[in-house]
Amino acid sequence: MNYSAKGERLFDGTILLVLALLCLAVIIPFWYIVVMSITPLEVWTNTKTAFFPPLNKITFAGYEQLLTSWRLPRSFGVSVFITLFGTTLNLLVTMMMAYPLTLPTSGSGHRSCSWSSSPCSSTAGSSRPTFSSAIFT
Amino acid sequence: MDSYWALILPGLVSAWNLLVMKAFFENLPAELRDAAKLDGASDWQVFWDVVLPLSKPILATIGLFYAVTHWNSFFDAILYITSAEKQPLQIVLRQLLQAGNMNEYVDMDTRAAMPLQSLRAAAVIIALVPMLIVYPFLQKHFTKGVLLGSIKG
Repeated sequence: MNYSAKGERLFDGTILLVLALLCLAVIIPFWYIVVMSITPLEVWTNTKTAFFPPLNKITFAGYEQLLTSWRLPRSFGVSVFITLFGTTLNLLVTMMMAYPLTLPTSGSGHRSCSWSSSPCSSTAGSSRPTFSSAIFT
Repeated sequence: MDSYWALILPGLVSAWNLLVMKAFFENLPAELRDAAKLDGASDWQVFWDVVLPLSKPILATIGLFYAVTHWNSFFDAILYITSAEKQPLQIVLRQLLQAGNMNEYVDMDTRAAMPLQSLRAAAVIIALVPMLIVYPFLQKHFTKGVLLGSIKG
């Protein structure tokens, strides 16, 4: 880069610094969780913190215990199923509602019909409690 | 109640995503449809063979929005799901983090080896990783999908 003034360099430097700090603010909590999940008990009781990974004492026992229990893998499967199946349905229906709205009308008024049926019905869902929309949709 | 449908059907169509998708379809050149019509394609053929192949970016983008919503959804599961074996991951995660009792997840013998925090952190990672994996694969479609340009393809 070609700096014409000292002030510009200072300005860019400040921006970089702020962005780097923001970046750290995102990464550090994540890093903390990752390190904590592999910290064994004896290290934990000594340090009470988990910023530096205990390189020679890394343990995956936590993952092992969770993955061999019945509830977590089971619920994981449920979540995967709901996500895959639900997203497929979402896409299909959204697509089929959106596409007719882009077609030119033939004069029979079917476009205003699909307008009134699709977005209104789905926005109205938010104006009433979701537990009743489970019944009406 | 207590069925997966209760988690899927209420949010079946989000109006916002519908409008984004409509805007995308509108930006496809109308001449494509006319040409296909001239070649004798039916409305369904136009939709499946002409429009859909061109709209992969928007499908990937909107699909990701929906998928993340489903993966993170947890309040509707609290409302609708009563039996333990049908609970999605976020519910179990929440119970784990609030740590009513860990005994359901961990047997007492091995538990001593791990601090509670490590278990929770491990559970968070497990819940987090799938979305983390999915994002990079779909991200390349993002600029084409959400930012509405003129000609797609």
